[in-house]
Amino acid sequence: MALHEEVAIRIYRDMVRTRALDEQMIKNSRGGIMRAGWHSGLGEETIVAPISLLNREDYVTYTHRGAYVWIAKGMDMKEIIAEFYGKATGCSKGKGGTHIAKPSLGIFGRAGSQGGHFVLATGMALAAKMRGSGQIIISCFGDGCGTRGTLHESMNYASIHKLPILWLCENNGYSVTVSVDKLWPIEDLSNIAANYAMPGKTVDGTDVVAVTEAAQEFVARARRGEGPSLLEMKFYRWRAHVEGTTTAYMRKEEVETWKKRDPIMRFEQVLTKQNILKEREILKIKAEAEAEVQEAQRFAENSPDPAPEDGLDDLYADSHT
Amino acid sequence: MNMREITMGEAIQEAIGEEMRRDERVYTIGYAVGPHAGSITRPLASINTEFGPERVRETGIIEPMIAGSSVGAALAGMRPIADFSAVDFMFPALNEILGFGGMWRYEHGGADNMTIPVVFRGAIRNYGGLGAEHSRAPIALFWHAPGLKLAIPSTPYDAKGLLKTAIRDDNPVVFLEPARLYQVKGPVPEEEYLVPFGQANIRRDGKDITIVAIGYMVPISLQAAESLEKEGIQAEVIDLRTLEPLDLDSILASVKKTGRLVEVDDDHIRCGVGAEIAFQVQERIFSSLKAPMKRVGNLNRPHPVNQGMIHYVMPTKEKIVAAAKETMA
Repeated sequence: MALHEEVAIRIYRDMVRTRALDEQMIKNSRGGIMRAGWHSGLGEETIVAPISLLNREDYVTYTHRGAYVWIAKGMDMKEIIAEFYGKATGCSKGKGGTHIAKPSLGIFGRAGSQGGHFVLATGMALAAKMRGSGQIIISCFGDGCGTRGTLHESMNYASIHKLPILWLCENNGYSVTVSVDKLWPIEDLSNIAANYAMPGKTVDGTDVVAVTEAAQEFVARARRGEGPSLLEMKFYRWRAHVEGTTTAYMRKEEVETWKKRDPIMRFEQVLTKQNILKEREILKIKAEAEAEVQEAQRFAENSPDPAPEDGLDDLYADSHT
Repeated sequence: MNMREITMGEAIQEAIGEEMRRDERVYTIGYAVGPHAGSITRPLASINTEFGPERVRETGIIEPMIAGSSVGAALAGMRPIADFSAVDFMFPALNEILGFGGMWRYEHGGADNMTIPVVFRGAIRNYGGLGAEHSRAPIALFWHAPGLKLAIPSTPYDAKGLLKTAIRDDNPVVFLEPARLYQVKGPVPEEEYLVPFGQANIRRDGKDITIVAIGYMVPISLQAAESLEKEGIQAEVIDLRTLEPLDLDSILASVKKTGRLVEVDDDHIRCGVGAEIAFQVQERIFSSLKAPMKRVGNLNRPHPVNQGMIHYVMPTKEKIVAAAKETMA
């Protein structure tokens, strides 16, 4: 395995933390005071791996299923849950909900229209390149919004100008309720990379090692200034598009088959087999994650609401002039 | 200040050049910014020569990418000027301009005090023969949307000073340029200057009636005021210069004096600039009004090609004069 032990443990820990947060947010979606909708990413935690290859100052854009990105990039769970609760202590001060932002960690926010990120990510990468800062960006997108025209505009432009982007496709089988085979005439979505003269690769999205190795190669390429690349992770969305909506279009056996390929479970097997983690260390990581979530949950519940009149703030920035 | 006469196109070119020289984070991007785009369509020839393709970025016809990448780059610390050779071409990018440009900061609670210093330049190309989709003046649309600033110059002096202010502003600015004024000359100082946002310019003093105008409608309103003077009516003409921020105080002060208001702009009348201004005026100084306020604008039709039809559906000097006289009656 090309994975450094320390990196492997960090990825595993963040996957477990992501899942713990996700499961709490699923609970929070069943009544209660949480206002924002939760798009669960259970079964897709592998996305932690590519994100964990980034430095603090590197950029990311994420989809509506963004928990793995926020966690792997270093956000505090407190300000995430609090934001979904619309509290003053949320990262977006109760104005964002699903629009999680932490610019100091390279997380500039989320476009409500999926596929909006392509163009934003291109601009962030352009900024990095023009400054010669060495920063790179991972721009996540789903199989659904990948059919948008903004993908073509952005991938084309990014390739022409060799912008430092890893386009990370989260192919989870469904765009809201429409299955991917109805949206694309090709099996492997990474095949489109060739049209933009960039390397593309499709990997088993439940295999952390395979995903990490592929991502390492593409991240290094971006850092060398050789331009963008496209990595497709194939996995499965275990739950509904958004909590509280139907899963009638998902076949039961399909869900069960994919749950047997749980990326966290598979990675645990790798880590224990290679003696990187022992059973009791795994239990400890899981217990710590659960405790962290519970503390963040209490923080969110006990946080104050913003003052109603704060609803007028933050539209404009103070100007130089 | 040492003044010389230059066109609005040249003034805009100077503003962009000076700001790119002053701040290396400033660049411009669009499909009509290149060395062969031509000084007639876009005033950017010398900018190309000086700064080259890295900072004068030619693209394909990809409006969402032009606008959206500019927002992304602005979030990441650059100060882009997104160039739309006609404001009509902002329409494929409205999600990026209104949604990402205008709403993004609020939507994320201004996290880490994020800023989006981007200018969306677009030319208003009406009154020609370009047809409906190349002749729009969507002023009210951008004014309606939260989070954007909105400037529209009517002179070379204002074009340069307002554009420099727009580029230095930490917020997204929609900067609309009346293309019919690109070749019109006016006095511009040799020295550096800025025109601040939110300060209307009283272009002509008058005691009888207030004409509020913006963009290309300012010179047309000044012509109307001259005609009115021959009939003994002293019209005050106010060039708003920016709608966001709006200099309401200057409008109110003038209407308090004259008691009458005619609003003129080249966008559609319905839900338009005049509706908003008249409403704000009556809310504050209803008792100062001596007559119902009037609006002169586009009669809620797409822009036609035939000149006779254009002048039927669009504002003209004659319509402004007629509206003013009705208000005086």
